[in-house]
Amino acid sequence: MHRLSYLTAVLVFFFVSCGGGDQAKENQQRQEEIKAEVQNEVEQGLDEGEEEEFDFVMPSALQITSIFSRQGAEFNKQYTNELSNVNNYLTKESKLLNLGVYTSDLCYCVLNNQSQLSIEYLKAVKKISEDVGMASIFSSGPIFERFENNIGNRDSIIYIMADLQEQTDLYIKRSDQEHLTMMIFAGAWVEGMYIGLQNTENLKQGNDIVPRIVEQMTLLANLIMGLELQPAQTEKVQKYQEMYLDLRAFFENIEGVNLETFEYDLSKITDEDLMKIKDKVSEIRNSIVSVNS
Amino acid sequence: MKYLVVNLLAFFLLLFPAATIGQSTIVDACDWENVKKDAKKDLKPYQYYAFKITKISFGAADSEKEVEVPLFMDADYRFVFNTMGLPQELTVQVFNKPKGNPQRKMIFEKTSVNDQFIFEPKNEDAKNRVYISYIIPAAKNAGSKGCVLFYSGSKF
Repeated sequence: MHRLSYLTAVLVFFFVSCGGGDQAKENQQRQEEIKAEVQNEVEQGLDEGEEEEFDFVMPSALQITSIFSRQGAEFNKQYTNELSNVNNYLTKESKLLNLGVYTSDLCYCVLNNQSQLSIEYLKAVKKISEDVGMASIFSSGPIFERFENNIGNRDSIIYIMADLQEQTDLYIKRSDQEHLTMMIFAGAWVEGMYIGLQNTENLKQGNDIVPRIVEQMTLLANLIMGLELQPAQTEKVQKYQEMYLDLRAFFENIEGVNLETFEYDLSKITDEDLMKIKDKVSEIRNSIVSVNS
Repeated sequence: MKYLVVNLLAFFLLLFPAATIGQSTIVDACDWENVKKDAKKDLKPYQYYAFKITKISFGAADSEKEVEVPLFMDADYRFVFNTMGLPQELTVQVFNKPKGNPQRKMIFEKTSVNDQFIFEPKNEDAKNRVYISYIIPAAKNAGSKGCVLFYSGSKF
């Protein structure tokens, strides 16, 4: 009977304190992780109220390309990255950057009612997503079927594109790889700008496109910060950081532009400034889409 | 009878430290996967723009976290905030300008926990970007943490 009471007590202790089996181990592990996180934040002084944290969200490729699609310029396939390049990017950085590029190209096609070409670019986006281990964003629902069934219905296609963006963001959050967002965004941003700046007739002081270009340029600071935060600071990542920094420095030095306050005097941005921005954007974009990059 | 008393005594003696361990654990109330569907529902008829999960740690003193959200001209936006994943309330403030700018103006404020609410910034209030500030009060229970889910939609 003594043995029984001892056994009872041990079992009670085991179940009450541990909750039982693998679940208990997982709970304990999670508790340790949470404790480490809290400890880390306390050590950084956050709990003392002395420091404030800063974070940001980035817009989608759809938002970037939609801004320029209102300019009334005719669709030109030559502005997009060649579909045949999709198999030729070898490094993960190139694939992520060009995932962004192809996403912007897809949006450009969709916004300009290029039905068949949109499907081709969607296939390219799917292929390169699979290559970087993000195939699951396409398995969350019948995206291709929805896309094909709604071809010709621009509003529905735009909703599907927004859903695709959401699936990408969710995948990245769930897999705790938020640094990937910044690489994809760096490609999407430069492609959106590249397309928007191709119609040089528009690049004149006072044109409606100028405030839109300026608006896009103010995203550069966070884009560069995102590249600086990449855990793998490869030569390629550093090279693009430098190129984006150079573009930002040029923009920042234009008279009438204040990137600290996001205030700008559009009347002081000259035609030459706009052409120079176009050249610098083209240089970055052409380097990213180059299969030898 | 004697054995029963010994058994009960052993039970309570061993239960006490186990219960104490349970009370001292840190609770993370963040369960964003379960609440995001509700947040997404409230986005309609806006289309998805971006989402952000901000982790909140309630410490010994008040603290603050800020999130910058870029906005584009000619587009309308809806922000959905979900505070179901918080163990205690905090205050959400939205400003039109960054800290230090003399023109910084608060355009929205709400103190919340276990709730979901919507804010639609007006174009004249929010040009180019807005700044969401989470004002985090000192912890009611030491070491508690959670998250705020921010879902945003746009129309352009």
